[in-house]
Amino acid sequence: MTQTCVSANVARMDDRKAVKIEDVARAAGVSIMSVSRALRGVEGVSEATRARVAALATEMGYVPNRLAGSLAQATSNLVAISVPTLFDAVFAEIITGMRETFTHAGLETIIETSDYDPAREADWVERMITWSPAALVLSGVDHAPGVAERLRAVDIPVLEIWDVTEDPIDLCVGIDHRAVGYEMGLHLVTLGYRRPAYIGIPPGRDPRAERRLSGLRKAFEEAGVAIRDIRVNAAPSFEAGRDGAVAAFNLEPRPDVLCFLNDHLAFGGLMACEAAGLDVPGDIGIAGFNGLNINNVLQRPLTTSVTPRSLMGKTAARLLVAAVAGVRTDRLVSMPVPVSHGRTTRPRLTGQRAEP
Amino acid sequence: METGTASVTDSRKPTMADVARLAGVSPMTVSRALKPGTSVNADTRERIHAAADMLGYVLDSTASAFSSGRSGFVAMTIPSINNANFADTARGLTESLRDSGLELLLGYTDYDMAEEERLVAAFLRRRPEAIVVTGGAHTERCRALLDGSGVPVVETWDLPSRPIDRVVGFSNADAGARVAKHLFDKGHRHIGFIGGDAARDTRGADRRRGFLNALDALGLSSERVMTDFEPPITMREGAAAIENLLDRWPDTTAVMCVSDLSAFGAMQAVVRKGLKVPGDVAIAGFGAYDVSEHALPSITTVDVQALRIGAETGRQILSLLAGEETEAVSEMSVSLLERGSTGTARLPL
Repeated sequence: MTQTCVSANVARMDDRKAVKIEDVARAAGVSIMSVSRALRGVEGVSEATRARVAALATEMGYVPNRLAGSLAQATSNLVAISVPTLFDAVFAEIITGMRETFTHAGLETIIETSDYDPAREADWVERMITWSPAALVLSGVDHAPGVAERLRAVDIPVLEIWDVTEDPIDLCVGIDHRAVGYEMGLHLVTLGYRRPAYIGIPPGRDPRAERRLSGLRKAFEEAGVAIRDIRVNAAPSFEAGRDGAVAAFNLEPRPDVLCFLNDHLAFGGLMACEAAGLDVPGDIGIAGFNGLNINNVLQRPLTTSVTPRSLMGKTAARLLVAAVAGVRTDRLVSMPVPVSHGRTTRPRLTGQRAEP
Repeated sequence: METGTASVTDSRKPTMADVARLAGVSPMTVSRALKPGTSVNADTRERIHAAADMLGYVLDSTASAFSSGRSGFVAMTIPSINNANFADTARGLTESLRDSGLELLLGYTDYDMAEEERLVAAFLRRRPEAIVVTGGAHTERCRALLDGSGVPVVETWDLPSRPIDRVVGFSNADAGARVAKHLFDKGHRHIGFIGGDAARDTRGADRRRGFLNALDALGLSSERVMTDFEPPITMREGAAAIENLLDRWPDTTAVMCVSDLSAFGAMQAVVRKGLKVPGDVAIAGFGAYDVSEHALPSITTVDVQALRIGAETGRQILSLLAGEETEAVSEMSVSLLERGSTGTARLPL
């Protein structure tokens, strides 16, 4: 792979003599400290200077020594991210949230999709360890056996995102899915719903969805109500939500509220209600999870738990960049998830909750 | 079975020869089967993997990558990760590579060619087995990097005029023209287009060009264009754009949006104004997203078979790695899905 390119920039990448921070500072006409600040993405330099220094550093093939120094082996400015899917925009929005902070710190991101398969995630971890990335990002806290131990044994900052655990591998930024389910359950109980049904995909595929359901179930059980459980054997999609809703219409007694695995399914369910001539929320209530962007344009916004996807990405990226620079911070951040009241549920006039 | 059990309880590490003995093949076949991207009969590969698993044999992928020059991964750049179409193409590619053991790693460019160049350079330093990019527009340096990479390069989602190596794509301009023709056939004569800033999304710009050229060719005005937003344009931006478009040209009866997401947003905005879709304004999208199928009314769109683009790209890569010749350009067929959102135009009073 010897490149005999005429471009000085390319040639330099393969040179033995690495470009030094002094070289970048001289070329940019700023101090070494400013270059360092600019490339770490910390305050103290103007945006214009930051952009100029970053462009020069890239052009000259400069790899910050700080990244190199924190790693035992070869230098790398790659952050490798594993997500289960890019289909439903959630992980895409988290990664987008991380992007700016990473870019300011001179880090590139590469992505792998595990398709909810822990074995694939484990294979990817092994490959990535040989690459000596600046950092690794894993989705969730449920990994194949041995993965956590393997990662704790190597000197690479690791971030688990989207879920929380008492015992993170390294850093962890996410939401408490069980608490999210419980909060939504409380909201629906308070509105007066007493015949809930859950609509999801078969157990074992999405452990976080199961934790949310356990929270929902607890909230309803505290009100003396059991939640019925409908599983659709499909990918978590609009279609699954539609099919699940149709199955729920046939339950006896008919549910007064449908709690969907996420907004995608809820949207499919909403369409199924309209098609079946059921008024939402008059005849039946609908609750989702995520607060997806589709809610911004719907005539009737969903009642849903709004996950802070972009902010989660930003927060996580800051912690990770600090860790790459050798700064220790909080290991665990659990982010708040407000319930958006939406227009697909309403207060019910029930025996228990007579209103004037 | 006997040999297998014995080897596991042995304290020595199992060797490739042990795997070969258990699977009843030569060590060379084992070596080939355990490396990604080599041509070994699927049954044999399966048998060898089973034997390796039983013996606890692990191919040292780092050492192997060093000695054979193989890295075992395919790199792909896509413009946006928040886009179900590109996610489908990536999934199609992942699935078609799965049996070969090749892994797909994605980078996303945010519709920025300079970012694409940085990613391609970063990937090439890791020696991918092949590299897949979206579209045919690149910086000159990126083009040079790809050209000199020495590995298969596939450009997707486009039919570039100057292909670097292989192409799996379709004509975005034709797709736009198809929609224009469809709206015309439905009786519409005042037709608009909603898209993103053309400089960044060259494929979206091609669709717009094809669409507007077709309007010109049909003798219709092609001035009703709204492209105020950075791609990818969102549902909310689609809604804002159609409000602006209808304010400026109130007699518009049909609009194509550059993607289904913006079309869905636009449709919601039209309904919110108290107008009917398709009765007052017909709306068409692009990309055959799930949302367009499940919306009420469902949205007329163009299906470009995003998943198949990925699968075909994988097939090309595997053939090239196996030393087989493949066709330079695979043009994928696109189809118009005619749905409820584009009804017949009202007759002028």
